[in-house]
Amino acid sequence: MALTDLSDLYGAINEEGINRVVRHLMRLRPSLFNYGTEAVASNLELLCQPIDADPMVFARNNPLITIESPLPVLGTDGVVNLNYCVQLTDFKIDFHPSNSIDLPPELSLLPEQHFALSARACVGLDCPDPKFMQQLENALDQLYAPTFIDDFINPKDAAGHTSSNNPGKPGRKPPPFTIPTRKLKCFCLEVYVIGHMEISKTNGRFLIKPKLDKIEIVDLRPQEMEDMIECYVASVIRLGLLPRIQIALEKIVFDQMKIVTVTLKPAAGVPHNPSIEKDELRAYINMEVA
Amino acid sequence: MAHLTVASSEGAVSKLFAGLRDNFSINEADSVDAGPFTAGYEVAFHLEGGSVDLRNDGSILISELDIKWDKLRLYAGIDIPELCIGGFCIIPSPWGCILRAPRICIFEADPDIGIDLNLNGLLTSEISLAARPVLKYFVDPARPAGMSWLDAEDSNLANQWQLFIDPDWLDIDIFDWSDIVGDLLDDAINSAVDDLLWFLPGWAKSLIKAILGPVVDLVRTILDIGDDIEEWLSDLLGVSLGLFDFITTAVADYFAARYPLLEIEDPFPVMGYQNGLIPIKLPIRDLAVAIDDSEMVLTANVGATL
Repeated sequence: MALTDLSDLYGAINEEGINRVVRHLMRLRPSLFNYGTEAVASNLELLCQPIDADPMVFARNNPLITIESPLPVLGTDGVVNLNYCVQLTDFKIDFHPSNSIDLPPELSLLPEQHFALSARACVGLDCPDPKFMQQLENALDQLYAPTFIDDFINPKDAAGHTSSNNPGKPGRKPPPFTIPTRKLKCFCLEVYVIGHMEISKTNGRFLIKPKLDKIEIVDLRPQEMEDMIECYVASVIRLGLLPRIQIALEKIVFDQMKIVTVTLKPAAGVPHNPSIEKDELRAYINMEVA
Repeated sequence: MAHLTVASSEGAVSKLFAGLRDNFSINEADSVDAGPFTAGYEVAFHLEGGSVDLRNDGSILISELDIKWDKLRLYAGIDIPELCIGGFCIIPSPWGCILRAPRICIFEADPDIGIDLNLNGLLTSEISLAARPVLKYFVDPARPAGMSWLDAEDSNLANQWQLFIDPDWLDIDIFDWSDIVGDLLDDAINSAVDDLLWFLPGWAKSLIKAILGPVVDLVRTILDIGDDIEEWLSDLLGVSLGLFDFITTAVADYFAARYPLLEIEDPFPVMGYQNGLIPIKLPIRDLAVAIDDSEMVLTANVGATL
């Protein structure tokens, strides 16, 4: 049986090929997979996992991580902030049939026409040094007015005036402050995803896109926390990563004289297009020559 | 097993061939005027007919592709300097010349001697050839040793996989008598039916033309038999028969080895520069092409390193 029995053109990439593509993508655009605060960006030793980037990334001063705002300490009105980082590493894709990723029991078997993806999500968060924490407490004492016992006995009047026994005035709010970091506390989660591929038409262009079906983070308890973190990671993958990974079937010009323009569109009548089978992602495409 | 596979059906190759054929035309004219010598040409042609066939021996056969010469005019001339004799005064007088010898000038025209070969719309030529794809890896000689892939990209010196078409044999019939005579017969029949049977309704004239059509096709086929045999023998032996075809095959080999049909940049660009971020490119290794009678298949691996 010929590869093109169902269409004019046929394209396929196997899982070893796609994993090499992902590896190149991670090495050339590390900032797509690594996020953290400015302090982390300027001191890469704080990262949970070292970043394996192409030498050209360093040569052209490309960022290794996408800089995000520090994490505010709740209750400090955004004055005190913590450094953190989030890293997605060790991406691996397995096209059906599943033979290179051991899926956790929660995801059971990989369905036909689906792919599995495994990755590590590493999160690092600063935990301030106890001595520094003590200094911060002292500093914050100056910031907030104390609450007197009398305030409980004679609460504020209707106009909201404070008790006459409270001579203190709130201090001026200092500028936001991020606690200096020597080391982040890190942990890594194993993330497993099951997804499939779709062709859709957007703005007149046919796009082959990956879609997420299920996600599982292994060994997290309690269940509600696992569900919440899975929901967040799924949002990152759905909204942050996958929209950037889509292949457009566009017009191409084959000959160097540029007198022939070929318009590509997905072949109709193919049971699954694109298809995931025999460890490959396959696309069946018809063409019109103008 | 190759990481990447791209296949094109014979039907897709035929569509591409038809697109190239129908969109390709040449219209050129030039002349030189080198003092007494002038020469020039007017050439315009388009392509018609022909078919493409993928074959199990890994080759592509293009059969009977017609070159329709819309303009084919060659001219040259020599302008000999004007030469005049006579005109002198035989009987002079104080009041002027009474009798002059007759003055005769030759080579007054420009050019004086010329040929003008005008075959506009009369000539059809035909090409048949068998060729096979050849892949080569091209490193620009201007690229310094040790230059990074990104510097090469910026300097437009990236390496390339190049797909050439290497002709096995080439058969060119400058005068495709079957089509020339066939076209003349078609024109004659159309004129005769339109002029002599003008009183018939359109459908009746179309019917008569349709009945006579196979006769013209038969004439075309008979006139083409000799050429078909030559092409068949060329295909069988894998060489061009005839000195002219041998030379044209050598010329085609020369040009085919220099002008690739397709160039694939290595590393292959997937995503360009974005807000100062370097482009994403994939190293392409082990590119190979295979042809059988149903499809052409291109395979490649994604390299481990750039």
